[in-house]
Amino acid sequence: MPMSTNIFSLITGDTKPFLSGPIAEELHVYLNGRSAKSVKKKTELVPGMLVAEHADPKKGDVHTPVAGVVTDITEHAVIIKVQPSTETAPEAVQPIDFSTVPDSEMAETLKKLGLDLPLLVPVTGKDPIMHVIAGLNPEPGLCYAEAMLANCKETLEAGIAMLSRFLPPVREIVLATHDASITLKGCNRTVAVPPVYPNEHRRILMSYVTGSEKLKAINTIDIHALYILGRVAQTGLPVTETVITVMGKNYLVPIGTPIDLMLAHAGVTVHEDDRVIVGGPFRGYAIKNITQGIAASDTGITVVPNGATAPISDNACLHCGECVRHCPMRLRPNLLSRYSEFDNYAQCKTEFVRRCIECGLCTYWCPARRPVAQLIKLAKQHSILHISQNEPVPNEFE
Amino acid sequence: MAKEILTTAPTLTVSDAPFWHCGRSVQGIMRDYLIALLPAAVMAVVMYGFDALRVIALSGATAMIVEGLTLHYLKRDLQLDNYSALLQGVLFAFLLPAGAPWWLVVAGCALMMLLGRLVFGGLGANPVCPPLVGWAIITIAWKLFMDPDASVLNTQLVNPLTQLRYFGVDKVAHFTTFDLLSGNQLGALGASQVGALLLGGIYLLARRVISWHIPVAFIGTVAIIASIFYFGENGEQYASPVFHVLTGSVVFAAFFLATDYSSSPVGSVPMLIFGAFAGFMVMMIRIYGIYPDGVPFALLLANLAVPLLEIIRPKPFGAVR
Repeated sequence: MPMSTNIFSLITGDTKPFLSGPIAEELHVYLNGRSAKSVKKKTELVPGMLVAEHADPKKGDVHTPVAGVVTDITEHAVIIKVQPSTETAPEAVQPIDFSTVPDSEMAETLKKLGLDLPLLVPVTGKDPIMHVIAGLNPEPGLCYAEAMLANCKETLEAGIAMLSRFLPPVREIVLATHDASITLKGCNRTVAVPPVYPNEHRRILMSYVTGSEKLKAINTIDIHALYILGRVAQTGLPVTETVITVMGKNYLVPIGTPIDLMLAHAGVTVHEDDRVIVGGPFRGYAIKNITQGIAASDTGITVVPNGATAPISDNACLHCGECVRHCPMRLRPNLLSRYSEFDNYAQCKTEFVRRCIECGLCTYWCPARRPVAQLIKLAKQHSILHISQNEPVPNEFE
Repeated sequence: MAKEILTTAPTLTVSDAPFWHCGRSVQGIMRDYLIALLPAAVMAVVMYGFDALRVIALSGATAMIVEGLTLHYLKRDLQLDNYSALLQGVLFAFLLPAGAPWWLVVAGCALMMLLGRLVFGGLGANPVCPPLVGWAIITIAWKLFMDPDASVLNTQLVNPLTQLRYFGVDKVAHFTTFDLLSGNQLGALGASQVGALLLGGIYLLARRVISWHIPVAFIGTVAIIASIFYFGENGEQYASPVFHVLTGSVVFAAFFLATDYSSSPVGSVPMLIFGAFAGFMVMMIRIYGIYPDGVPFALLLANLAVPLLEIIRPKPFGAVR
């Protein structure tokens, strides 16, 4: 039925253990909204020491993975020169014994250890009835999920055991992955989901687990966040490492590793005007500074060479229907993009624009090379903004 | 205070997700259409001589000139390099008789571009298929010049549909299927090259430029309705379904005109209904109407029904109503 039959497979069969990242001489700890109040230039650091705090109680603080000294604090990053500790260095950071932490303080403790709690709390306002663990690679090109399920089961199980300490109790915990025979201790059952992009998205996973497309109070946790939680649960130490996929290989890297060093270590050359993307090619974000440090929540680095992909154009919509055929939410991106192009956000709302999961397949398949997904995201923003202010959504034509 | 970015670091391009694209383009699609029309264009020259080439070239050039001038006057970007104007011109030429005088071609082509496409907004905005608009206007205005029986006199070819209408089914019994497929029939210069057009249509399907729903529904319905008459009572008055499918513009419209993106529906059920409705109207016009070949008018009616058909769509994910 579709014009083209390419589908993006989310399994690669790669279950090799993680490779190690580069040894950096200088780390750039990316602040991303945090403030580095506890350190100054020339402060000596030990591994696990607090570098910057986030004012939001749901966003994790960030800690240094190595011993070193702060050489600079910029608007975006804390630059740390890696060097062995001297006698004047502070005491080593002690691991936390979670059995001594009461459940009511667990969320705060985990935030202080560097975990981003919005990744782990329910989507709807109600208490969740189940947790679903998204055991699939999120995008084509990222491949850590299979390796984690094959090699890091104890870590994942430690993470699952930790969930009940800071989240409301649920009826069951379900693992959603490509193979129903994979089990994790703590999960009541495993549901097989076709490993095709964008099936890792929580709405689609929910529909496979519950058998219905209606939105239910289900908490989805992606396997990357669960892994990080599991590492913290196992060690009692702050988050200092993360797993990322670069060019199809998985690396365990210290946070703050500059991206240009990581790419050089992975054998990738970046040329002028290329795009360097944190995340995958459909939902990642393009960075502007190639020395930006890797953060704990980063899942991969994708490089899109200049000229490898067709440039976006301002063509009118042809109504060929490619986007409609590929939309996982069964929306009409052709109409949505036209309404959004002419600021007709009220009609976008009638067309279920907020149902869009921003998978990006509509832009991928558009032969007119329109920025379909980008126009839809703009329409979503306008809809949400006006709904939150209880105003009617504006329509230029009324 | 900010650390200087090393001058040796490359400048990066920043844009919003997604970052991949399948590589298809409007130009690529139009090029596929033109390649699919090539066998029929060659056959048209074989059957009608260089008259046919003259008409095709004049029509294509006029289409591009009219579109170029109009877009320039409207201060819009010229898009002539995506071949869409050229394609419209060639499709229009295929509906004309080979003996069409130059002024007929130019007038029809200009009217097609202006009233069938540019007045609605250009590429992607036309609610009706532009070649059909041009054809309808000049057929009604200059009926005799548009009639191949009257304007293409230097040929031995016979027009099966006018023979059928005015002299009855016995007069067309001599047409074999091979005759009809190989273009051994008088009609519009391109639309009568049925076998070559079928090849072009298969090429379009293989390249996934069009999907099978509209051609199958259109041709299938023509065949089914023709069968109902042919195998019913008084069946000896009616021509066979194979005859009806392989004459006139049925095959040409099925693959090239009905599948025009902007004037055809997007969903698979609407596409099937669209094709079936157009096919049904073709047979109604051929049997009960006044035109020997009803394809352009049938398709125009179907185009007008498209917004209604687009209401038929699967509910969005998780929608309740």
